[in-house]
Amino acid sequence: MVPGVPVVKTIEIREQPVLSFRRTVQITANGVRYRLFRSLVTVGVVAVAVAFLMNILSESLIRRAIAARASSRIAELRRAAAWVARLTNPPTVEEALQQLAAADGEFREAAKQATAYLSFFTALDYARRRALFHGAAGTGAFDALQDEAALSRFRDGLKVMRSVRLPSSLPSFEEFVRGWPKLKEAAEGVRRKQAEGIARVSDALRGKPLLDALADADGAFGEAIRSAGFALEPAEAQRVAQHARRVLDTQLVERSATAPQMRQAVAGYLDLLPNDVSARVVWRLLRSHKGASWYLARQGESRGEAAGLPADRLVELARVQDEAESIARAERMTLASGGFTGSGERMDWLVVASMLVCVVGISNSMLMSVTERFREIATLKCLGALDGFIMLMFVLEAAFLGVVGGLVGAVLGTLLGFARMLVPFGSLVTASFPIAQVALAIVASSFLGVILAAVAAVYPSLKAARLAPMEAMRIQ
Amino acid sequence: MTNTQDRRVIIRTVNLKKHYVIKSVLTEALRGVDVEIYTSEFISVMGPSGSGKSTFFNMIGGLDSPTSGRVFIDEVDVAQLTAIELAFLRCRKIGYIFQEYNLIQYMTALENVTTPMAFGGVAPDEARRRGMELLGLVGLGDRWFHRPIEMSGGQQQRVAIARSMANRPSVLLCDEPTANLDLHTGREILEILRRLNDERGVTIICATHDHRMMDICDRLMWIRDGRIERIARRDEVHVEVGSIAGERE
Repeated sequence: MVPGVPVVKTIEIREQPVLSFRRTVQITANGVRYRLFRSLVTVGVVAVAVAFLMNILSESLIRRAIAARASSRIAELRRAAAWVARLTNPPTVEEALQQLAAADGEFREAAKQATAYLSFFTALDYARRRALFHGAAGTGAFDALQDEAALSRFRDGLKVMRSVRLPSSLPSFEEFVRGWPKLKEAAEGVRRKQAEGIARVSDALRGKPLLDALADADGAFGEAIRSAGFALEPAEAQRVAQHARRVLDTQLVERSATAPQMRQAVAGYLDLLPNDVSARVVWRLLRSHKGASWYLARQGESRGEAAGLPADRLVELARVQDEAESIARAERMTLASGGFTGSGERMDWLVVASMLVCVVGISNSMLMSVTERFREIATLKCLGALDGFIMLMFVLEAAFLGVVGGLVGAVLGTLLGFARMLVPFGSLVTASFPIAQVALAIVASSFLGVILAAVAAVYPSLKAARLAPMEAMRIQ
Repeated sequence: MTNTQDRRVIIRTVNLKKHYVIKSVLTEALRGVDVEIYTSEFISVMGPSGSGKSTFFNMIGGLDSPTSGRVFIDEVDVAQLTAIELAFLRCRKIGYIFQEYNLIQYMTALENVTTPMAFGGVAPDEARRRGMELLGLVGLGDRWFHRPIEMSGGQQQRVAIARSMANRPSVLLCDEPTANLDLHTGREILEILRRLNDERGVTIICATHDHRMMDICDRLMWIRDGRIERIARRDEVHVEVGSIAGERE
């Protein structure tokens, strides 16, 4: 053997096999269990960030659910008022189109298209409307496009406006415009028929206020409405009558409370100044049976208007009043304030910032973990571990912690959001809690926690994987 | 054993040099080392700290690459191996024993021993069988389920020896294996190493300050200032040391 001359390699040096994923997971899990405290710190970082996100998300979901419930409740509470409006004014052409679109009939599809085009044209600015159809408003746009010259002008105008997209293709729009006179005729028909109906209903009223008459909507007046051509189902009629009676009674009670001697009496009873006795104060008094009985007794003495009502009715009215008030408050408070989370764009930024802090936090604690484990990593490399194994080990470790932290954080955030929403909205929260959406959000934010942790672990893992195996020889 | 000339060379270095630049100061850790180590040899490497002993170890262990010169392990030029082949080399050809044992803290004794086998692709059942056998060999067969924290230094070092033997390596590299142990335990460790060398024919290269090592090794090698100061067979040295033996005991 001549020194300095390399001998051609004869012995087998094969490639190192890659350790199975299952075994890697086992080793990592073993390590995480052993370093439980350090792991808990990392879990905490993930949990706090995810809890923050989940708190905001759950609050926004709950707010939305409450808002939806409030607006549907409000529509119900105003049922009588809606019928008063319907029976007073004939619908506009646009409203008639909406009715056609909602009802079954040969014009249903065309009416649907018409409402889609209408809302599209309304959204355009005036300059564009002018260029397209001389600025005609509402269904006037369809009228304006009736002759061929106007239509070609419209076509040219549309070609120039690149950002404007019709809700349908141009040929189908033109087809619709050609069919418009017929549809308009139908809508006008609906309008005329309802105007006639309104005239007949007002004949039936014989000077009586409409609301008073509606209290009889489940009786003779209901028949009159039906015979005037309005669709009034018996169940609906019953509800309308109930609402109308409630509105009348409410007005009666509120009127009765404005009499000076009544005010004096209530002020004396509640120890207030007479000027402070508002309708609200009276309703609060009537919420209890005792208060209602007392009020009725005073009404009886002073021959007030509400004297004839039973005490139970007063309590019921007060309760409805209370609910209406809280629903109205809920509707005001749940107006979405924009942004992805529905809590304002500022909040979106806070969420993003918290995610970044989380990534930095996890990176930091994983880096510390790498530094603490220099010797272990180097030893594993001396024993034949591949760089990929070391890297996978650290990413997996972070992902484990991410799963736990994400789940814990998501649940904590939801609980916190639920508790915070209980304060202003009370039982409305439990009644309209959006379980499915919140569950989905919990899954999504836990997943986000895993992703954040895995991303944050990339740099520390690379650092660990690149560590030289001779570090194992170093003496502390 | 004395006639080393008949043996096959397992590790050979040719004009091995290693320079470090730390904060723009050049340190010449090795200044040209030529050495041949034979199979089934027990060789002690001695030298004061800062002599380049550790650097030499890293080089022949395939843990670091030289600035110039060559290292052949089993006639394979280490510099030409890819990272994955180096991992293979570290896994199968060389066993490492460290001064601070370097057991994986969260693994039991048996898991520590079987981990290199897992990296080497040995089936779990086979690895377990071999692991128990190796633990039995170092006298810890009944403590396989203990974690490092539950064991004394000597026991940990014995687990480390069992682990280094996991994939039946040709070479054991021991970096001051007895430095952290008391006299009696250190002697036990040395006896185990000696036995491995005798019974299994493993080449053992042992960095040490421990003079007892002289009693059991075949050759001694002194490193000073990045160069080999002297290499001698034990019988040659023993005469010299024998004269000062009175001071030791």
